[in-house]
Amino acid sequence: MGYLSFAGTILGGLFKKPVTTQYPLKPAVLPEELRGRVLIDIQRCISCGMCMRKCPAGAIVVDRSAKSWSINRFACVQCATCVDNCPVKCLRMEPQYAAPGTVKQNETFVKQAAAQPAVAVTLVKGVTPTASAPATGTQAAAASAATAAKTAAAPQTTPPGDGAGHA
Amino acid sequence: MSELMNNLLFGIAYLILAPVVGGLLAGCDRIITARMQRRVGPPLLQPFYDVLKLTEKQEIAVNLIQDFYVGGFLLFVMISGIFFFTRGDILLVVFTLTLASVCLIVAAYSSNSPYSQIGAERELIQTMSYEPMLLMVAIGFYLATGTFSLSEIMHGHAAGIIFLPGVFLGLVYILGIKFRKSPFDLAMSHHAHQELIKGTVTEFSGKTLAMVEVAHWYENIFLLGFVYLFFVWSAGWSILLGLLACAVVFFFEILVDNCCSRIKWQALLKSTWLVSLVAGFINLLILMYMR
Amino acid sequence: MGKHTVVPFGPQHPVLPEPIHLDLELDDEKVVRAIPSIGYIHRGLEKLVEKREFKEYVFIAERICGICAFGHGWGYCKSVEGLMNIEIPLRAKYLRTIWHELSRIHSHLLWLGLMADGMGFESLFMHSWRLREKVLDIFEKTTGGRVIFSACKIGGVRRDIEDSELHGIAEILRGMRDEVREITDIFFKEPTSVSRLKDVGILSKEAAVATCAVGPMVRASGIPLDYRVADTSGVYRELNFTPVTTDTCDCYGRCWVRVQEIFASLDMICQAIEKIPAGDIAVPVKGNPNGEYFARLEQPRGEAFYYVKGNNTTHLTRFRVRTPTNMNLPAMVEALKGCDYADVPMIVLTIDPCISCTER
Repeated sequence: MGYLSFAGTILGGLFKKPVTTQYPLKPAVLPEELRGRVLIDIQRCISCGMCMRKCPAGAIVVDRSAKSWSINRFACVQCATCVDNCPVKCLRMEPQYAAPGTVKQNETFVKQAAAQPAVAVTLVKGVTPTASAPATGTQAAAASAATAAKTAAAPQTTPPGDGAGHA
Repeated sequence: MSELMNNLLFGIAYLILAPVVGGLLAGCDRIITARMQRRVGPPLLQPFYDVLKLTEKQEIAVNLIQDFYVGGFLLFVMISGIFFFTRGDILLVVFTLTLASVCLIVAAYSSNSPYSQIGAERELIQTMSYEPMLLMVAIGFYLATGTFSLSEIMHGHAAGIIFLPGVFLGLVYILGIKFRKSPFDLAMSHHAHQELIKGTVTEFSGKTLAMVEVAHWYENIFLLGFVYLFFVWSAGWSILLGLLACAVVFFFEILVDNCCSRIKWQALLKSTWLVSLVAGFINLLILMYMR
Repeated sequence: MGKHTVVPFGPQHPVLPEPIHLDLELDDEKVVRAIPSIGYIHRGLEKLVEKREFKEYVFIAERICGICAFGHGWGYCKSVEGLMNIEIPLRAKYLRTIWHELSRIHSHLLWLGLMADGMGFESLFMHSWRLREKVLDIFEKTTGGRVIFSACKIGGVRRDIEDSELHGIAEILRGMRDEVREITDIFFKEPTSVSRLKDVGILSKEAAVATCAVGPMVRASGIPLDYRVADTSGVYRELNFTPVTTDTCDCYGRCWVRVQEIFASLDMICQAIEKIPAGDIAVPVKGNPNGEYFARLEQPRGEAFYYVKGNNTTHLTRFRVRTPTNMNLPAMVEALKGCDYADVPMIVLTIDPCISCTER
């Protein structure tokens, strides 16, 4: 016969815990080896531009004169080619995915002469950064012609320059 | 006079409470199904949220006459339920239900989409499959209790199940067709993963689809009422037995839904008529001899 | 004469795993003819080879498809390594084989879930994918990604798996055997599933040869065509392997072939973990590719060809993939003639269509 032969597993399933994880109600448990997102130790960067040339997605922009390193997290495919090719090994992959957002934006890191690295967030498509950005005097190198200002539409990303875990 | 008032009250209670209870049953159904599949499942009130969301959606209809027919479907399901719960005539209830499913079939035919056309044809085949069994339920009660009237059946001297075990088994078999559950969800499935997309109701959207959902809740409650009918008699505590039987049958339908795949229409017709013949018809023959 | 309808099946259809369009000419519910059209997911990935250096193109090659991702990365690397005469270390070959066989297991479990879903058996679909999660967790731990691994590079592999971890993986896979058997037995025991699979989508041996089908599609018609037998450069010779065939020629047979391949892959991975040698995982790559070369691989769906052509610059001039679904589509159209409309999703799913691979 074999009718209802699956009933054993099905009824057993009723009494077992669900296997689905409770993300995002509970934080995700991700392994160490995960290729989550790229982080840079900007003070060690020598602005050689190797990562920019090797990136298959064209997500990295390096400006030698302004000593900035900028990544478009939505274009990045987490292949870790930049990490492998950096001559001073200032890039690393962090096992934490980039946070979702409502606006596509670049994340720019600028090497400071002083001790504190400054982080500024520029929004593409010519939106001015909101006033609460913790950047010091040097604004980001990417040009941001302020045409139409979207008021408070952009979420601020927390400055991840120091490798803080959860974005 | 008070019995008339009583029946009227039951009818009004059905009109108002059946969608609520039906929606909660649908919510329980989804949570139990999810747990059987080792998932968490939606909140209990999800079917209500879905129906409310459907009413807010834009309606895109090829042929607006389908709204009229779907309205007819909802109306006749409500009328059948009212006839049932006001303890009317069981044969009339069966025929009004048939009228409701014909309205749905014409609604599906009225839009020119090939999916709903084929879905409507399958729905017709399904109606052909379960109609004999439903009629046998009515005839079986007549042979067992001597009347078509529901109030006398419910206050009979013994539970219907004792005289009509075969008919009851046949009813549980075809309930899968009416509940739109595997293995019999050919024409219209809860999930859209079938070759006909959503089959009969593919072209319905917005308020029309919300009406179909609510009509299904009404229909489910009133079909469980049929199951209830087999387990009540004049004893007062039999009401609890009836409700327990409804719960067991509902859980059994969910279990079978999760344990079977969908069958083709040829297999549906053959197996349903076979079960109706063996379980239902033989039961009726035995009853006729016993009289 | 029944009612003649033309049903537009796809490209967006809940039962289809990939966007393919079929115009089904129906006579009542019998399919008279099926006219396919593809092209909905063409992304021009082969043109992109002219714009990326050959060492970086591997990341684009593996994104041709999500399910057979590792296979495409490996195929590309294999063909360029053959072109440049690079001999990769033995440990790298073993690691690639282990990942590829794990990829086969995950692909077949995914397919089993989709088959159950097409039949209307949602709970079996959910359970099959629950088992697949274990394989995806292994991928995440060893390569850093669940679906796209970025593990291959020209000259070897990018990451190593430590021996202790390899033994842990072998334990997990041994534990999976019973669970996989419990789930896959249902396909062959439950009468409603058997009725949907048996004698559905018959592709006779002659028709299979005439339409040049590959993979489990042709192995279920009795022809033992499997590239892993002919692979001289890989490590399949060291592993105990025979192609799985049956001669029922219907959907039931193809389902059976894929289920047996899951068990065969589980065995092969455990064997590879026993036999893997210590050593390097990559060799340095110098110079530029020049000339033409092609490599072959046995993907979960069948045999795939990878052709490359270089002209001594850092950019290749041509990269051509001939994917197994490319060859199975005519076989599918042939099998669709004369079937019931309810069988159409079964037959479409039975070739395990990967239209992303076909259209790149």
